[in-house]
Amino acid sequence: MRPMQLINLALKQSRSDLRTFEWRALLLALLLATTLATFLTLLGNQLESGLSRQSASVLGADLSLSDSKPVSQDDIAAADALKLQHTKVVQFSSMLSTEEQILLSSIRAIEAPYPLRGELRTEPPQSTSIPRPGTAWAEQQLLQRMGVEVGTTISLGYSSFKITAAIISSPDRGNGFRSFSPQLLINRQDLEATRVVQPGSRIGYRTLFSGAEAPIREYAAQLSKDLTPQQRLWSVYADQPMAAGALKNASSFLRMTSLFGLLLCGLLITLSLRRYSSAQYRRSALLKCLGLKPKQVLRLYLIKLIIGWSLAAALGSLVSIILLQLTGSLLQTILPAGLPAPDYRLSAVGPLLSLALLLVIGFSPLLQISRIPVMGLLRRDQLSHQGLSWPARLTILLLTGVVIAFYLGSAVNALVAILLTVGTILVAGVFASLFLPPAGRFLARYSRLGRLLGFRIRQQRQWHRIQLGIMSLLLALLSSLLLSQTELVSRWRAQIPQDTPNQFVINIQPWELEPLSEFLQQAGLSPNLYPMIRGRITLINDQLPADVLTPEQLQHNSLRRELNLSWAAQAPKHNQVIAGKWWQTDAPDNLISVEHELAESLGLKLGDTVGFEIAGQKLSATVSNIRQVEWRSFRPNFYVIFSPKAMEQYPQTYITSFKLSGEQAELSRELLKQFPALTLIDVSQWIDQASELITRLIQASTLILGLTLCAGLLLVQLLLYQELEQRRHENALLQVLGSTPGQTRRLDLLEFSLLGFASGAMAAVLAEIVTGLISYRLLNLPLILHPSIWVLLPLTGCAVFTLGTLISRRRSGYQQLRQS
Amino acid sequence: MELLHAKLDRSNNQTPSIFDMQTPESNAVLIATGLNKTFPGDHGGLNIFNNISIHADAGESIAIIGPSGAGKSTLLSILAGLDEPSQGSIELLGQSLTGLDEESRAELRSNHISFVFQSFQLLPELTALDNVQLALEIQGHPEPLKQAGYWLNRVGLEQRHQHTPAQMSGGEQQRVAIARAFATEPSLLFADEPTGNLDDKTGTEIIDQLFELNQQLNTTLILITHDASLAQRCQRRLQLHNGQLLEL
Repeated sequence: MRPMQLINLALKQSRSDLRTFEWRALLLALLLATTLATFLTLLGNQLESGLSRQSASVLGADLSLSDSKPVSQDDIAAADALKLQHTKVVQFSSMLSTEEQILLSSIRAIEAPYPLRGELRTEPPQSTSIPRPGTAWAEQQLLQRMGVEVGTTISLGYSSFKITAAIISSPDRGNGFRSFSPQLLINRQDLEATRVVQPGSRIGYRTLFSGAEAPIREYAAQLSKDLTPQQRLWSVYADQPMAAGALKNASSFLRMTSLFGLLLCGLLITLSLRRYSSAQYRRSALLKCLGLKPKQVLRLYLIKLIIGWSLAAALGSLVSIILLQLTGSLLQTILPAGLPAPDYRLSAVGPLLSLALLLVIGFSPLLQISRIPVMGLLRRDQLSHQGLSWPARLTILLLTGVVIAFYLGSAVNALVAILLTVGTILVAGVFASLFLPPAGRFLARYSRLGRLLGFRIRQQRQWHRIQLGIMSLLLALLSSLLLSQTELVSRWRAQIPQDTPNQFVINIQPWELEPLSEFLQQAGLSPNLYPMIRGRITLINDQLPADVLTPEQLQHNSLRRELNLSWAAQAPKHNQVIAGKWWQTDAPDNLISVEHELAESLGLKLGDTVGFEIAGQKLSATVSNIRQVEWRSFRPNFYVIFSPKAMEQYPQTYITSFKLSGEQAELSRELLKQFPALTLIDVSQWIDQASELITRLIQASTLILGLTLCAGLLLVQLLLYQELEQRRHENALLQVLGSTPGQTRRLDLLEFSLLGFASGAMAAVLAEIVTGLISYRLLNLPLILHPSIWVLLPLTGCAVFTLGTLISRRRSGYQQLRQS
Repeated sequence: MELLHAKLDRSNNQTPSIFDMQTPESNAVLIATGLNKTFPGDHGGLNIFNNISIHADAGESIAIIGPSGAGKSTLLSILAGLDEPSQGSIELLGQSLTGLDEESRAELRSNHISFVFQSFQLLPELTALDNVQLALEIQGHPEPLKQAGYWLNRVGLEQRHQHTPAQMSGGEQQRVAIARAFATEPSLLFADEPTGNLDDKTGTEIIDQLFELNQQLNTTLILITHDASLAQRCQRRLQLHNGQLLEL
């Protein structure tokens, strides 16, 4: 038979096979797989670019380099060579004054273009992207504090500026405490005339860069090689200044959902293919009887699969793009920074992925079809398939792993996924053998239906092993996704709880402690006050860091700058001691508690000694314990806390934080009136920005979760539909033997509710393992057991399968027996 | 004697059904009158047969012959209460099938009707013993295992109790199907091309066994076949042709 004839035959058979359930089910599985993979890929791409854009809009650029001196011409030339856009910002603290008021503010002198990413929104809206020379734009907070309005003229150094707009929102607020002060934006051309910037002034120079991802990454890598201790680099691809952990988690969640979606599709294709190939054995025997060679049969079915895939790929891509359009409007509201159009080139990923999976997974069933002997036409028992050899099975697994690794871009994750899948199928086989027959025997004692179930379990034992594996994996993946998202959401919510402080007070002198505490208590606030001392790490175990640390460790930021140190008799409530013990109040020695990431980075262990230089004096202390610190808690946190006695003789100031509601704004003015030497830092805008971002992340992840759960339930339904179709023949026989349709219906319900229960029970164990792996590997969350799913999952499995059986069931009759 | 004991035990232990309580006045097991079957279609429907009547007495053997597509299997499924006629009535052991709901028809099948198929219709993963036992479980027999074993022995499969269909020859599989059919001690047995998948020698052996049991147990046998020689062995022969049933 010539190739064209083979293609014609395949086309004809594909068309006529549309009448068969198995071919339709396989097409539907391919359609679902293509749709899910395409949709998740496009959505993931759209959300990731959206989130990057969102975080870039906070940074005002894709890359930001801050320094204590202006950027070098070499660095600018390198950026130009990579065709990156750039702009310079000078930021410093200075006093602003009107005739009535003075205020310590953060001044940003900017040049066009600005910002490079995100939007600077003002009221009234301005026609230029930066203030015109001689004018300034001020934050609302600044206007309120100074009691002035737009149109007022304020003084900065030797210059006066007319405030022409109030800033509603602004990216690139800078970093560190300077960024928390109320801000004023001026044109960089006016900077010199103010004469505020003098040699020795504490000035922050920032250069913003934007461009395509690859050159930005390349440039960031170039810069990070030669960073000086004064320089810091922020990149939207490496670290986000705001809610960085949350964004990273969201991205991981997306990747994980894609992986799960992929596994679900793979499972469905596997099962559909097995069913389809079993139904084709007789036809294969007939074709061989008519003269087709095994290789030609193999090619014929390969062509058929490709025809089926082409249909599914075309339709699946179309459906996923329509779905994306439908979800687009919702995502627009989720990401106000603007939702970029998805990269439609990625719509090829889904179809290509489903083709790769189909060919890899389909190889074994196709081989079995082509190996069916002609004798199968005469002896039905010859139509059973012969299993593949172990090397062939391993090759298929390896190839599947390669496909997944290629899609995920991670060989390790692909290996974990493959091991998990294979492990589950194997364990499910053992579990099915151990659980189902005793369950059947138990039920057989009580009813005739139970006895019939016993026969059904014996008859279906081979399939039950596979079904149980697939169903439990499916339920486990869906519930793990649900659990992980729930944990993520609670983690995100916990990051900025309702009582998150939005005001920091620093420079509190020891003699101000008592009156300040009284003032705050009268206002209904009772925050903790923490002593703060600046110091530098100079020795580790009596040796210079350069002598004991690796070059990588020496790059750690803590060795390049002064750290904020503190002392305390009790461990801060929002810190957790994870190694060692907190000291007694009257501990005589110099003891320190070290933040665990710092301890890890510098290789510090309990009992090590660390030398500090504080106000020109040397001090050595022993590591007594290691603390876990939630840096994103917006509470005063310290890398190193000393025992009280160690710090007695050093000059110190105090720091505190508390939350003020919008109605309590007057209190901050009153506080500064009574304690003019204090520095009050208002971070409410930061908190609002972070909580807004987190709310949107929660919405986005819930949307993705919902869509994946829907797809998962569709898969469960399709799977049940396939299985019940296979039961029709058996039910027809039972009815001929005297069972009523009601009995066979109850038998199906009993069988699938039992399978659902068993799958749910196995899925509960699996979900704990998978969720644990996700928490540990992807989301960096603590391991938690979920006792509720031990009860809920078996019951849910039972309920879902019972309901699915009721929906999917079709009548059986004598017709089925005549067809076989 | 063993079989009689089994029958006696069953009648003692089982709840009497509406059919057990029937005492037909005549010897008739099956009376079908004026049967008509039409499948709905776009052009007025497809008429399979018209005004067919059959009368079968206890222990009688009847062959229904006819070309492929004549509607023999459709007629069989209607006579067995698996399908409903478009018109006409059927009485089985004095009980009208037309007035019965599905539950009652199923109970009737379970207690009084059995089938033997061309393609054996054994469940492939179950052993021979399981396959026979399954029918007895559905019937609610008090000792299904013992009865299933007895019938497998009776058809000469003493050594094959624990074998699955794939481990048996076609003839052996059909013997299991016969054991399953007779194990429930039916009044009426329908056989749909029982030798269609077997070679001549095995086919003859199977038919010998079928007729032997038909005589011994006084079971009415309705046989659907293409095989003229097989039809000749039956007491009566009916031909289904052009929608009509003619006695030959």
